[in-house]
Amino acid sequence: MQTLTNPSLSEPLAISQSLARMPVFEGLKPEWIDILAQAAMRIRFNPGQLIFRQGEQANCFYLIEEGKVSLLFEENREPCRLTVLGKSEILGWSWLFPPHLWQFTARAVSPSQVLFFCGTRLREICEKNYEFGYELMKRFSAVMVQRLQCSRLELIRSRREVYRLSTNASKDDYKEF
Amino acid sequence: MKTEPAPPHDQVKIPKVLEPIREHPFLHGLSQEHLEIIADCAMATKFAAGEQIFREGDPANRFYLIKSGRIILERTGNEGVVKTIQIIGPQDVLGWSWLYPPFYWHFDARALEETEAVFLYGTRIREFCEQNHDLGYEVMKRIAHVLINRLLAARRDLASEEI
Repeated sequence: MQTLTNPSLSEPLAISQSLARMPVFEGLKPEWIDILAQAAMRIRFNPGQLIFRQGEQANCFYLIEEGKVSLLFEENREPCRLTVLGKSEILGWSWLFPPHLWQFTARAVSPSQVLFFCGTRLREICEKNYEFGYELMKRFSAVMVQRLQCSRLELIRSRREVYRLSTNASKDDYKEF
Repeated sequence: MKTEPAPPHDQVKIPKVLEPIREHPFLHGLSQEHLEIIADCAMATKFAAGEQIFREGDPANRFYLIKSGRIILERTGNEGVVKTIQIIGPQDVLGWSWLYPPFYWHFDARALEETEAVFLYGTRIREFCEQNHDLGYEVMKRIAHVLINRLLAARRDLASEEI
């Protein structure tokens, strides 16, 4: 389902160069960029192709080089689109934070070229090297903040559509997981 | 680089200011050194029922570890309608915006009943995190957990909407 593109482009060196230009990794030490590059592989997704599904184990993340990816949440009803991600954006933060389960579903919208990163391996490195771990956590929790903002905007939008349904959610709705 | 693993919680000496919340999950697994740093930025505090703790858009320089009571997180929409984000209580953390730019509160927080908490000076802790990555890593892990909870609450709310 995932196809490797031009193998010459998949070499760590080419990937390192690509990573160093990405805003999300700005300021990382060159040796950390190399660590990331060594855990990365360039792959493609076709329009409509599932990248990951909400609720499943999250052991990787993606960096979009070309194309568009739709982020959806699926609960009790038709999938609802949260946002669409594009070039240079990070797809996936759940691999870094317990419970390591995907919180959303991701599907390619257009032909997409992405870098796939092996999260399990990077997580192990984070646990050994807190300096690296701290830098990654800072960057990936900022991605979480963005998703949280999207969720809330979507919530406000959908509430406008349905008018008033928002009051009196039962107390159970607020239980921590 | 990684230091010695933190000793079990019952083998560290909890600083006095943190004693009332010694069982708080935020403190679990922190080393003596990290507990001391946190304690240096801590102060016990109380909120009366109905008291506003902070407002959306205000600068976020602090957070709270809740001992007892209940706090409602709200957001005011364009039409002036107040929407509940989440209600939190004992063992919860109030506030994550102090850790992420642009360092403004993203919601209002108000005590629903008399609430006891420990105030933490977030800006100072953030500075420590930048210097001491071992502490930074631990703090990030814990605040990320708070973020996930907020995200799950938002997602549950979205799911409960019937479009």
